[in-house]
Amino acid sequence: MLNAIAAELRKLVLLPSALVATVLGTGLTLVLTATSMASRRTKLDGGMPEDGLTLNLILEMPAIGVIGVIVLGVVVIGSEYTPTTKDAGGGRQIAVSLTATPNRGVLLAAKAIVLALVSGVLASVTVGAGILISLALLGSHAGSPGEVLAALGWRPAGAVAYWVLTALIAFAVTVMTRNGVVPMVVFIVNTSVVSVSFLLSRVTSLAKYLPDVAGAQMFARNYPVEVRSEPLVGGLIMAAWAAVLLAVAAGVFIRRDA
Amino acid sequence: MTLRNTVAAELIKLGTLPGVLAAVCATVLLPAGLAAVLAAGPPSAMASALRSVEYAQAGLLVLGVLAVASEYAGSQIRTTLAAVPGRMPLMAGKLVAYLLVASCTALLAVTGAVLAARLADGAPSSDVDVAGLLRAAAYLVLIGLLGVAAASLTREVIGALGGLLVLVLVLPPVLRRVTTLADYLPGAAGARMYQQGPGLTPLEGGLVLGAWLAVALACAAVTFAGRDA
Repeated sequence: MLNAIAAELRKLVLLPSALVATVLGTGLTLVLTATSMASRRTKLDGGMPEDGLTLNLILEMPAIGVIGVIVLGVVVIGSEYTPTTKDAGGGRQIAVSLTATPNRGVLLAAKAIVLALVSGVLASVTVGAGILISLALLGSHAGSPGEVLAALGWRPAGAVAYWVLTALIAFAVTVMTRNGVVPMVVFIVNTSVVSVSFLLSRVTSLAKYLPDVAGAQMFARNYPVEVRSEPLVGGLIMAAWAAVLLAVAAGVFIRRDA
Repeated sequence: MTLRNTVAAELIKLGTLPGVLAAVCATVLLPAGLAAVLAAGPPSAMASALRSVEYAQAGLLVLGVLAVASEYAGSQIRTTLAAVPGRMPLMAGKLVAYLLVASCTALLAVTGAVLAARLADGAPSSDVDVAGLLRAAAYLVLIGLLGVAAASLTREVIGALGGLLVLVLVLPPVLRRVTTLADYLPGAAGARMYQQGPGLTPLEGGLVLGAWLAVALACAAVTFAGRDA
């Protein structure tokens, strides 16, 4: 199992698309955090009264950067099914992977563990750096670092959990579709501000049980939905979605021809 | 081959690609369903239909990307170039074929969305703004062209599609909080063609989107003419 995890980790960090996605996801998030904090500071310097939203801004941008780990979750399994060119034999990496690790459960578990680890590290780095940048840029407007951290409380951890669970859900769906296009489109579109979940939440209160709406309660304070879950309940709902989807994905992966 | 034959060949390719077929069906059916769900709530039928167009653009992006990138999944591009050695005629043929398929898809998508929204709406007397629908369809066709250009540059699906979805759907509202330059992003500018909002007028929005497309397609044409297949 440890060997399988090491192999999957090596595969993941060598995927060019994974590298681009993580660098862009984290980089873009930090740039956006920095620019929005800088403009916030200019406004505060100009005499705008503190409306209590400044702290929310710190955790708002990572909600966009989650696209990086969505791509990660998609390509970690989608790349296995992409055939090489006909000149190179048209083979798919999944055949090699299964020859090396014949136990399908072990292979899938190794992939999920690697994905959770990498996205967890990425999320921690992004959220942590975002908080540091915000503190530096806001200066005296933010209060002491201790106060800010106390005010943020468990929300940074919630944001990290949101990234990891989102990556795992994207991964599980791609295991079922075996092709990255559909999950990429669905999950990225749903990350945008015009998300389907958000629209559905206007129509039915059941939308609060959707994974992204429930999970966002772990870190968002002003989520624009009327009916919300408690943060912990939201996290559990999202974790349940991830667990069920992973279980279905495992069932499919173990039984289907490669 | 004449341009007509090239277009016919490209149309056969598009018509027989399973991915394209799925993208067209999803682009027509999903916004209709979404518009119906929305219209059952407070928004009017027309507003619901235009809202669902925001999702249809993801389908057109997929269509544009697949129309080009599928050539590079195997060695089909070499077969294609053996049949149509002129690179510019081939690109023109691809663009015309894309425009034909995308126009039908976009028209069906907006018509389906407005019909579904009217059926679901409690007050069927609400007006249908035909010009607005046509502008929405035109926007959908144009934004898909961005997919054609991006896929010509990257020669694969995931990168082109991921980058475009972020550029068109995700970035505008986020960047808008920082700078009004965000109004000039292709998705934000193009949306003004059919939907009122902050920033540009419909004409300006169309022109800005046109400028993006001109640059993107010019880059695609230059690289396609110069690069080894």
